[in-house]
Amino acid sequence: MRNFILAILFAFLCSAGLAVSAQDAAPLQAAANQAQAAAADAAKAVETAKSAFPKKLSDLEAKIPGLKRNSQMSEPDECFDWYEDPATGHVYLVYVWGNAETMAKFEADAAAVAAEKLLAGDEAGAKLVTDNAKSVVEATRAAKGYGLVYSVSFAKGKDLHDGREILIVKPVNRSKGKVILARSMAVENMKDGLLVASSLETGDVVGEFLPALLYNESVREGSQAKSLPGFGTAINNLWHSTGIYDIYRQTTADFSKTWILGLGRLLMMFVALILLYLAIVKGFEPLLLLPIGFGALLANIPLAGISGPDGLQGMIYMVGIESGVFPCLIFMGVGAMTDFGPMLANPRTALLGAAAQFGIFGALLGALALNVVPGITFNIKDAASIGIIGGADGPTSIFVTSRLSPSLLGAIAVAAYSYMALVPIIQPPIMKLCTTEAERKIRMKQLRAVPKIEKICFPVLITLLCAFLLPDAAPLIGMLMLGNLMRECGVVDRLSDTAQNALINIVTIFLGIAVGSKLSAEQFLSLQTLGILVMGCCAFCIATAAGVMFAKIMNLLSKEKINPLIGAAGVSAVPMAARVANKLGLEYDSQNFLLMHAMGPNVSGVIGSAVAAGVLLSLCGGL
Amino acid sequence: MNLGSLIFDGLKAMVLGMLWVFCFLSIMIVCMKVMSKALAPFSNFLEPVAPAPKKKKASGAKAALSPEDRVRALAAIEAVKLYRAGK
Repeated sequence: MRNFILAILFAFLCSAGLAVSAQDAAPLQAAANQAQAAAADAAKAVETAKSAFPKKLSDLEAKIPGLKRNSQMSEPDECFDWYEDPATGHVYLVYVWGNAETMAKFEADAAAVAAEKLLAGDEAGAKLVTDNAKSVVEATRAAKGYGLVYSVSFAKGKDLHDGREILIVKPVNRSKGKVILARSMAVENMKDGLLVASSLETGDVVGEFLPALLYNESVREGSQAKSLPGFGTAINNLWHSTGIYDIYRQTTADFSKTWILGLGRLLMMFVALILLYLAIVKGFEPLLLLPIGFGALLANIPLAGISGPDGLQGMIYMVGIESGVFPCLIFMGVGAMTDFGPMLANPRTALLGAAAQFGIFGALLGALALNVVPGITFNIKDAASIGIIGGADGPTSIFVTSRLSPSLLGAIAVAAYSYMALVPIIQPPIMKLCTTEAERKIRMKQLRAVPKIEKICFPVLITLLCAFLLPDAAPLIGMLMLGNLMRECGVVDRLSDTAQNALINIVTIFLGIAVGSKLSAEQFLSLQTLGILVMGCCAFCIATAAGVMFAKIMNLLSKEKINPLIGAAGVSAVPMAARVANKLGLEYDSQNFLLMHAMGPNVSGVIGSAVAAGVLLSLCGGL
Repeated sequence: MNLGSLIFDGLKAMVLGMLWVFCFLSIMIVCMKVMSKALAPFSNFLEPVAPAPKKKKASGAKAALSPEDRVRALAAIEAVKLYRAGK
């Protein structure tokens, strides 16, 4: 009975509920229909807006009648231009390389150069310039200004601040270059399919931006709630986010031009593994080659963008290397570890450190001569950066290259550190070739003991000398001398200890990681890298030979003989080059200890290479 | 820019660069020599003072050496003298 009553009550409640539902159903249905219609309208609007995003400048001009080129926002560069919609204030970034205006400007520039040559009486040169310009213009027009995209660092809906890199593009017949915003912008829309390894043609609209003076990060409640896409789409998205897919996509986008971005990454990962092998198994400069090798591995991970402007390596590079901070801090540590006593005891050996810098300038000339090889183009700044490898000083090489030719940094840093590790292999044959057995047996007078006060005054003296003679080298020499003063003064042992150990170790880790970020496939896999490696080796050889030969010249002019082997220590590479000289000396006379004598040219080589770096920065920095 | 003018620029950089490096280091050498002479009267200034050695009884020290050790010590002293004399 009780169950019966309960069943009736349940049936009643259900029917009542159904009745209420039926009563409410009509307005709810209407509301649902309205919402559905609104959603469909919104989707249609979005679709329309998407399809309405103009692909070409001509579409943009048809869509926006009052469109005008914004000359104030345009950089004096011929590859990209800004076009502004005066009604909305939106601006459009358009790829313009290859259009009539840019080609006319190119021809006009070439005509000006040809005219200069004609005035100088160089008719053949003028004709060469004119012919070359004509062929470039024809080729560029035929390729429709083809620009290969190497990096995309912006996305729809992002707020970008001024100074931010958004693209790296290699236009046909031009060098690869970054596209950097000179104003803060919000990204409203961007070209469909704008990905790494995609291409641009003359007149392509790259993106729509809204210049911004202020950003407010506040959001409406609930406005960020979005649901996941459908199962199929989600799986597709996941597949597209894998490294395998991205390597395949980039390789096959336009194989002859984009394989470097796809397969090239795998090759560079292999190069990174070789660097790790050399560091761990062979013990070649492990302190640097290990972080550089691992940094190279990280930089070549597809899609992660670790070496991009938002990635860890990119940020470390910007903070530490682009600013020149890391090489200077390393120099401080080197100064804190260096004893300038041997040089102070026998000052004339410092000249050997000067002679060895001939390797830098010899390699500079060699790098310029490499321009005869098709596919290799080095300007004077590139050549200066390559030449500095001959200084056998990693931080100096990085400092100069980051200022003169940042795109060559990876190859130059790897060459500099690799060859420094190979000093015991590279130098002895050259030293033997340049000296006789009798010269190798020359014994040198024992060095005097240098008083502490001299060692303390020395760093101050050199800093003042640098300030008066070569301020461009002041960041490097100044920090070297600060570290040395901390070591010698004896009142800041804690600071000296930190500079020698903790600080230099920390900076070395970051320096290696940041340099590794420049070992990306598109920057490293080129004929130029081969040229850099060859010229780097030549620079070391020339520097060694120059040091030894100069010691022989000094012996001709002086009564007090110098063992020419110590001239080879004039290439910095402290203290490895001095050890090599000592070892070779001992091979011919087991009682002839040259280590302390070789330390003189060795430490003067550090100063000499910093001075050479300052000269190169001073000569080429303003070009 | 053609190769000839590039090489010419490189030569200019080489001459200027080497000249400047040699000038800088030569001036540095001169300054170091002047500094060394100027500071010679103060060479003991700031030098760490070595603790005075405790006097040992000569007879005790001699007694500690066996005749064989004494011969070895004399031989070592003689060898050092010959080495310094360059023989």
